[in-house]
Amino acid sequence: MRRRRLRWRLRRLTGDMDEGTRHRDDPPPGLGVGIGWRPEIAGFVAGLPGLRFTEVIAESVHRDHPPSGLTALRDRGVRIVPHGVRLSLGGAEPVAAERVAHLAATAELLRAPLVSEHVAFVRADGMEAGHLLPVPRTRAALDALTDNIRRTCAELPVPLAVEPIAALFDWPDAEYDEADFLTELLERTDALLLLDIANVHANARNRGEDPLVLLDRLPLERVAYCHVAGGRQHEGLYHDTHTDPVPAEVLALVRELAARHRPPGFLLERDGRYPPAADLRAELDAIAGAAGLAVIT
Amino acid sequence: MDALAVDVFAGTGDTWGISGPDFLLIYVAAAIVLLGAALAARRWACRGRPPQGDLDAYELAYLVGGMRRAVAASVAALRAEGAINVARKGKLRDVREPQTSRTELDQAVFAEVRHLDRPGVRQIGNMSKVRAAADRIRDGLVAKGLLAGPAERAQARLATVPLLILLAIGVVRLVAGLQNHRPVWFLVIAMGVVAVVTAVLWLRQPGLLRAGTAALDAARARNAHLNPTVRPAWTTYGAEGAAFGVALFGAAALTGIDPLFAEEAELAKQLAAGSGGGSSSSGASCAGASSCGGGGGCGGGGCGGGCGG
Repeated sequence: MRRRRLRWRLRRLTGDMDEGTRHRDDPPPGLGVGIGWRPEIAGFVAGLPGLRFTEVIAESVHRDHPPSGLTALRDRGVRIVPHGVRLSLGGAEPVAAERVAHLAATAELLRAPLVSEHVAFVRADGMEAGHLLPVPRTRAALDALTDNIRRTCAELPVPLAVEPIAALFDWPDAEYDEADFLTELLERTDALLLLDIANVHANARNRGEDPLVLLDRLPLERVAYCHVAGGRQHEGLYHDTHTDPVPAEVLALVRELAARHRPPGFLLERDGRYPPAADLRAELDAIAGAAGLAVIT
Repeated sequence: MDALAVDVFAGTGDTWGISGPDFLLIYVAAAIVLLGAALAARRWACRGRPPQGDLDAYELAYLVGGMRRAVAASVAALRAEGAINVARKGKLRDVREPQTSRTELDQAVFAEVRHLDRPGVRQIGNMSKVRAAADRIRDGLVAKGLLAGPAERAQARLATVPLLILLAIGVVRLVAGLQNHRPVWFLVIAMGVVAVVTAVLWLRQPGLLRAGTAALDAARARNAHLNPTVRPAWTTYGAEGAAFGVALFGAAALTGIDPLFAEEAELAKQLAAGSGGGSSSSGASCAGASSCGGGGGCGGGGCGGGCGG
């Protein structure tokens, strides 16, 4: 693992020399359209002929006996991104070393091009929230987040992409708006951005804002890949459920984003109420069409 | 004088000039060697042939549990695509013509659900068209060298012939010994053991051949995503997935596909009733016997691991 990290840092260093000013991790090129690997749909994912990219919940992978379906994809050359959900990068306390170690080991095991985690916290003072909570957009929170991301990056053999979460509420006393907060965070660290298009849609819709304004203000060249997911309207609020079809508005945002600066990959997140295979394939085709990427079905 | 002569020549009183203990030793040694040879020959007869290409869901179902399992897999596929449903407890009814499940077995099962007045699953399995379709699957499996046919069964029985000959020799010796008024009890015990072993080997007919077991193992590995333990997204996998799921993983798969249907159609009962044991077709009962019957089916232990349900 150390040697690999060294090689990767060396590559980064030589990259620096070639291009002079760049000192950061580049987004991995050419991921294309993918779908999140879940045990429930492992057979469907494995059956996609053009698949080159998928993502797995990092905490669900056991280091000593990873799912055979996943290692088969790895051996087929599909790039697998371990997606952490329990690291709590946004927590006030330092990230747990064993959780970072697991993320690093999973990346090694799956020969991942990068790993991703959320800009969120899942525990505070030893209490587990059980789900992802938004980080207040304050200077103090930004400092803690920066420290945690640096700590994590230092231990990872591959780049880290961070994903802002959908929030149904905002903390009071915000000192930044979302775009400034993320831009500042990416400025301070080596992290890449994992942009969730469905979240962008959800946040803008629920706050009555224009999602394109956010897209225009984010450093899009730092986007490693995008999440695309379905959701539904419930009692006036849009919920990012991952169990419903991807709405036309989200696909329209994919198209807008690709027109501005096309990220290397778009990944469909589906976490339940799985539809017939034909419907999932149609959804993947629609994403490929909107993003201007090759069809994988 | 005569009596004295017999006493002097110690061996002359022995039947065939071989003493009782010597004969017993030779007899038991021969029995062990011949049993080993019979098991080896049987194992050879049960090897089968590796299949060319993948098997379909109903072939796999038949290998696991005979006609019952194949019918259950077909019913699951027809249910998954909405062609049939339960009318009331234990009774099926047709909904619409199947679109994707269109094998001969599917057609026969659907036709019976449509023609019979709300049949139970077991009733469907007794209909001649369904039987004919299942028999064709069995014949195909025999031809592919995965299930024992007449040739393999004959070979397996042939392997016990040396033991039968040994038994016959024992009988002749027993008669001679009795005529000579010699003690025969140990011989009787030895012959009893040989007779029981021979009878078991003779009656236990091979079913699933080793190539069939290997094909099943390969299919389970290839379809690991349909294992009920990973809670497969059955809607995504559709009718074909349902057929493979029930074929390879049995009642648990069906419960995952449609718990209410599994319960109401009493399919779990059908699957639990024993792998193919109820069917009169010899292939099915063979498959049941060897895959779940405790290893006797193929001699040396090449079987086992077949109790998918």
